[in-house]
Amino acid sequence: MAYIQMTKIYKIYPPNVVALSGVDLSLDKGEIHSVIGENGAGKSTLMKILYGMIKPSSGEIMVNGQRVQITSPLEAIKLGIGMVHQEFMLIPSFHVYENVILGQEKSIAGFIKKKQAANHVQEIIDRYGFKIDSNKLVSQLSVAAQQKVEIIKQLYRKADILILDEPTAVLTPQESDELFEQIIELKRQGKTIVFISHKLDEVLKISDRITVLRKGQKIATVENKNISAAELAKMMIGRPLSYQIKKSQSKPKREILSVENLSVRSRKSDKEILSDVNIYVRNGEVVGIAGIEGNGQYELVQCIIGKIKPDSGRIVINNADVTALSIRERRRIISYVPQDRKYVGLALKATILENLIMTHHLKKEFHKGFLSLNWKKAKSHAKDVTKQFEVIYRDLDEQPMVLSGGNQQKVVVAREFSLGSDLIVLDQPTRGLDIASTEYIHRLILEMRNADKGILLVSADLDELMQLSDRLYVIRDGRIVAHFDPNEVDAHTVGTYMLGAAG
Amino acid sequence: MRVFRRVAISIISILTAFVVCAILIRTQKSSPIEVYRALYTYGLGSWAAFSSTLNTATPLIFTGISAAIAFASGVVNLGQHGQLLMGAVTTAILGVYLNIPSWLGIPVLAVVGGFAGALWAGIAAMLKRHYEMDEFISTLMLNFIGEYFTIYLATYPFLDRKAYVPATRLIKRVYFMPDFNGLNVAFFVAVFVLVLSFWYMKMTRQGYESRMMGYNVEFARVGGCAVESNSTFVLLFTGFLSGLAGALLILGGTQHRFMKGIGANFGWDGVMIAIIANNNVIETFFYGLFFGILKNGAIGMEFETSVPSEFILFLEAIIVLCVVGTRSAIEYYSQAIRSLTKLRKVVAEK
Repeated sequence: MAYIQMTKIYKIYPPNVVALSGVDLSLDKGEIHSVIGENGAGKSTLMKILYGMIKPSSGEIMVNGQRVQITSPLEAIKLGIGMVHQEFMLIPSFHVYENVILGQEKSIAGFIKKKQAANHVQEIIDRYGFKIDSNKLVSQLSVAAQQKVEIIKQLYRKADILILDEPTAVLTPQESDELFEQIIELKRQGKTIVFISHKLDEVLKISDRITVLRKGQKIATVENKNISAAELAKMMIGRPLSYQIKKSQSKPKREILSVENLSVRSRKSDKEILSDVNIYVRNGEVVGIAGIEGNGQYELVQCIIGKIKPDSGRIVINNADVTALSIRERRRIISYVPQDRKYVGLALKATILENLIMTHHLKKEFHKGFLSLNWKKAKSHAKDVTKQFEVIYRDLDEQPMVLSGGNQQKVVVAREFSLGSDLIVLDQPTRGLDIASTEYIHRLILEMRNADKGILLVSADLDELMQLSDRLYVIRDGRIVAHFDPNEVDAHTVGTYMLGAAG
Repeated sequence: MRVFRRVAISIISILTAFVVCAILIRTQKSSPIEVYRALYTYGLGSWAAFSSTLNTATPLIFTGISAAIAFASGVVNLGQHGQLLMGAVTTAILGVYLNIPSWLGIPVLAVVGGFAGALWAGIAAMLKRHYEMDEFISTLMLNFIGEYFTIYLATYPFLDRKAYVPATRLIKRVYFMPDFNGLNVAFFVAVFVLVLSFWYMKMTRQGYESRMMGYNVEFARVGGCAVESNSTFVLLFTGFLSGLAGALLILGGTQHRFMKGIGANFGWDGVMIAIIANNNVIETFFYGLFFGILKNGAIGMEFETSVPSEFILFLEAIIVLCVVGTRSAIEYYSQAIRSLTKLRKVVAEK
């Protein structure tokens, strides 16, 4: 009998988005079970249903052969189900043990016995072989270590089943390997692990069984024996993976962007977020910035578009010093795809049309008379670019809220790429997109490169950077620590620099 | 489609409110039919009633549009009350001393009143721009200062000694705004302001930027909108509209002088109307008219039935709750029904 059995799970997000349609999943005790699928295939939804965060539209869940209603995470924890999310929920100014016991503190007359709690947490840490000091502050830990704290938190709550939602998305290759060893240790001690991912090599490395989801449907559950990555990919996307990026040698002639001796100090902590950064982007090349998130790449982009004023240094675009210019003035010469499409890239409650003409509205050709916008021109422009960039929508007056993630990103990309600027700044342009949309956007990026634009690409996806970039910078602690030709190095070497382990 | 939906929601919720109130009137042993008939007769029933309703609605339309434009731009101007009073007092004082012909004097006094309102909002705009002070707090507090400052002006320096209550002197008769058969010219100014505001919000580039700021200010900022100067402009412009409301209250109303309580509740009613109209200027105009009917009809209702005119405040509150509630309820249930039918379909296909 299966330990956990989810049967015929349906989930419709209002009004009519089918996230899951009749999915079955069974978990055996003590196995590592991977759930794979593209972004938007329903992996996270299925797991959030098991963890009680989302109510299914229909379907039933059995734990140990008993039918259960999991209406909240609290309930899930009582049943021994724990989940580690992609975004960590830790308080940086608290110690590790405080974070672990938070919400489940044992107290006497309202007082927590701190020493006892710290010892108890350290015991758990040692039992499972984590290498973390329970008395350290969370803010002093690396991302990988914070993830471990999240796992320890679940173990403290006596979870028997650990759901890990894309745990390697934020890790370097080295850190991922370490995590896998940890997962195997947890399995050895009798825990059941659900591993969510879309990286096939990782899945093949550690799983016992693999369940494949595609567009809200379960395609198959297979034993991890004699199965290849290619077969899994075919199940996952419904066709063989044809994805090969070919590009010609870039022949840059002139500098489009040059960042010189840029430094930014944090106002809060007086720490340097960026120190003495020097990079340049020339025409017809893609320049990648690799780094573990939070090492200054976000601030670098903000400096370039003008949202953060640097403390020292210069930014030069097309031979003109723009350091003193406002965002408005800079946006006339920069195309920019922000990392957060929902909260920065789009106004979800405005219409698609209104979203598509943002920044374009600064251009003369969209003006009419002294004050007015040329709405006729705006409409024809919107129709042209949605066609050119293959945005699927019903009506330009609809809100982008109703579009799929891939289509939302296409709206952003259509708007920015049609601006015609020489410099294109891309911050995580494919995060959270399905494979088809990602491929499409990669193709567009290369098209823009071949159209002689200068492209700065910031991404957390190392594979993406290795494939697209002509040159690659590595940023760590706000410093540029390496500058490569991606053809001459491998991902592991880049990872070493991201971690700061390279001599 | 969207327009039809919005009109339908408004009508359904207003009817619901009337039904709820009918039950309450009934429990007080009065006849709801008589009450509503009186409301109709004195609010809409004749030209005299109708023109008087439009006059009553005029200040509401101004303060409502002021709030609607501000909220739709993400600028929380809650200072309509103070701005209106500053406009009114400025016009009332100048109207006593100014000595120019009527055709020039009326527009000059109206515009100067508007500028007084803009100036009052400008204090908040300046605090926001230079010290990043939230206009939500500053405009709110300026209401109190405006309230007592204007009362001070009417009580001491500009007191009319012949009046029974603290009030300024009557403005010169030449500056009384004309009316057509009881309908004051001020209403046509309101219609003009409506058209101007609609054009500004929908057609101009700055209006587009302002609306985008209202939807998502980060999106607007990163997209290159001039967020700071647009906010300042919106504060000044909406302050001007409120000030104009006050000026026209003096020039076109019935008192023709500034006295304590002349601002009534116009400022807050305007905020409320903007909220039920979802910050849309056209809807704001129609809700302004509708609340005008209620306010004007209430006076007649008090004559004819034993229901006091305060009852209208109650009816207004119920209408606000019904409109906002119905809007969310319709949204919620239509989505729930759509997802349920989708689920049936998906399950059947399996």
